[in-house]
Amino acid sequence: MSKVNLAIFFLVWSLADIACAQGPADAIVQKMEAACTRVCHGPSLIAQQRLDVAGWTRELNKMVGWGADIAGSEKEELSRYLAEKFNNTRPRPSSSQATPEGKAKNVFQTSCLGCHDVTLIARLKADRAGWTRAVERMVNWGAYIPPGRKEDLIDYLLTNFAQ
Amino acid sequence: MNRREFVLSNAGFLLQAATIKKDLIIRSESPADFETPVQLLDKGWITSNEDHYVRSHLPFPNVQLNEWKLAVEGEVNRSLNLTIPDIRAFTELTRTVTLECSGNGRAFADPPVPGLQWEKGAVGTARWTGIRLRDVLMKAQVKPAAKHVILNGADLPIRAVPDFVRSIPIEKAMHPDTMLAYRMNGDAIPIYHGFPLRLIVPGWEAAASTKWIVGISVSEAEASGFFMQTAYRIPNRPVAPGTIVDPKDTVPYTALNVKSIFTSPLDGATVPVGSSIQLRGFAWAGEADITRVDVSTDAGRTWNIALLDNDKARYTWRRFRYMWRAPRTGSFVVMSRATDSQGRTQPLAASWNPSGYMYNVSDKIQINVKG
Repeated sequence: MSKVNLAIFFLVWSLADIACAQGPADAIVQKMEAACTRVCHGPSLIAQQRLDVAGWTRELNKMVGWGADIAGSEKEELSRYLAEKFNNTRPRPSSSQATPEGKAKNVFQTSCLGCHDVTLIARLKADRAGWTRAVERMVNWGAYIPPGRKEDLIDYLLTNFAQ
Repeated sequence: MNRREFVLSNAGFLLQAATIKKDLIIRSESPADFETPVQLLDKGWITSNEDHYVRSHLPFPNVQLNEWKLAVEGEVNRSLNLTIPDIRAFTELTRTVTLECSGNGRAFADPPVPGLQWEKGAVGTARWTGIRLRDVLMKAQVKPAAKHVILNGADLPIRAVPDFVRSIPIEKAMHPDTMLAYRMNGDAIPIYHGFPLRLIVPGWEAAASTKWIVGISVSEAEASGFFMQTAYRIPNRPVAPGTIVDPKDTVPYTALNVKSIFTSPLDGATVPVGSSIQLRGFAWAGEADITRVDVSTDAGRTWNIALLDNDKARYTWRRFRYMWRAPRTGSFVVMSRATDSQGRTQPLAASWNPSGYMYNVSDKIQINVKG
């Protein structure tokens, strides 16, 4: 493997694992990472859903049928966790909404509005530390921010939705 | 495919997501599912390869062009193993086709349904160049018993995930506009759009247009797997929101609905009072033609006919435009409603189904007019 290929490999490996590695350390999240997001698909696929316990149970049953390593006893707990985090109380995505101009406008539209309504974000009103925490939390939950654009996005949020 | 192979095969998409498709919404990083923001669709009648949405069910295949072959078998008198030069020897054609994911608009389902939460941008229009599927089938000498053509791509599932295998009826396969494409907008099809060869089934929901094709099997029966017998199906009768529907009470979703979306201005835009605003977007209708688009600037109380651009082709969207003078300050609900040559018109309210397919409610944006 050439140096370039090696570098690409480690870049990709770190990108693939970034959302998992920074997540909360409780057992159910680790189980989800081991069974789902490190194996078959990325975390975004989970984070965008808005399902109740019955809906998540149906999805988990399908995934178990497709080979996901989730024991029967873990399934109920995982369904409850997912329904608590990713349910119908979350706003619909709104990526076709008008947004303020700025260097990271595209990143804001694709990385944030794929899951949230502009007005919800505008209500947060945070300082730099607050927006940094919010962005990092979203990355942990599966948001994709193009490499090298996180600080631009935080600047954009601070400029347009400051305290 | 094991985890190591999965991560390696996904290496491609992550780099591509960060570079080539940098302005698209990443609905799923792996497998790669990217949505086009409507403001990028607004650039023109043809969607560029960089801006076109991407839908994948499995990791991208590792295509070795010198080893690539297309196998044709099943209910045929002559099984074939075609190389790229063999494919290029057939008569070439180009068709401009609007592709739309069957779940485009799923994010608006109420109650929510599982799956990629596409909003408006899982749709795009490209010029596809390739050969007729029927020419290949005729060379293989299809037997009279043939009823369906099963298409399989080189993409492989991991664990017990079903392979993405779909079929189309023989009549659609033999239609002169159904093609095996190798170029997209004049360039070799990018890997994320199906390099080196993909099916294009004009007018049908895009899951019929299998990517990375390596296998064609002519059959008496539909494909038997999950992606034909459970997914991409709609209830055979209207159902109450939230109903669980048995697959046996469903039918395959085939030809696209009539639909329109605004691409400019964006929802929630602010404009000055008295200014003239061009309200524009696209309308499409699968196998039918768009005959008119109406626009309302008063939440559907009254409707006005929009102008349609001259750019048109069968199976392709039409750009519509309506000039509106912002009459007074306030917040206005602007709607679009398309009608097609089959007499179909977009509904004003959604019919729910368990997978969020076929969403085609009149599009609605809010425009704020300020003094």
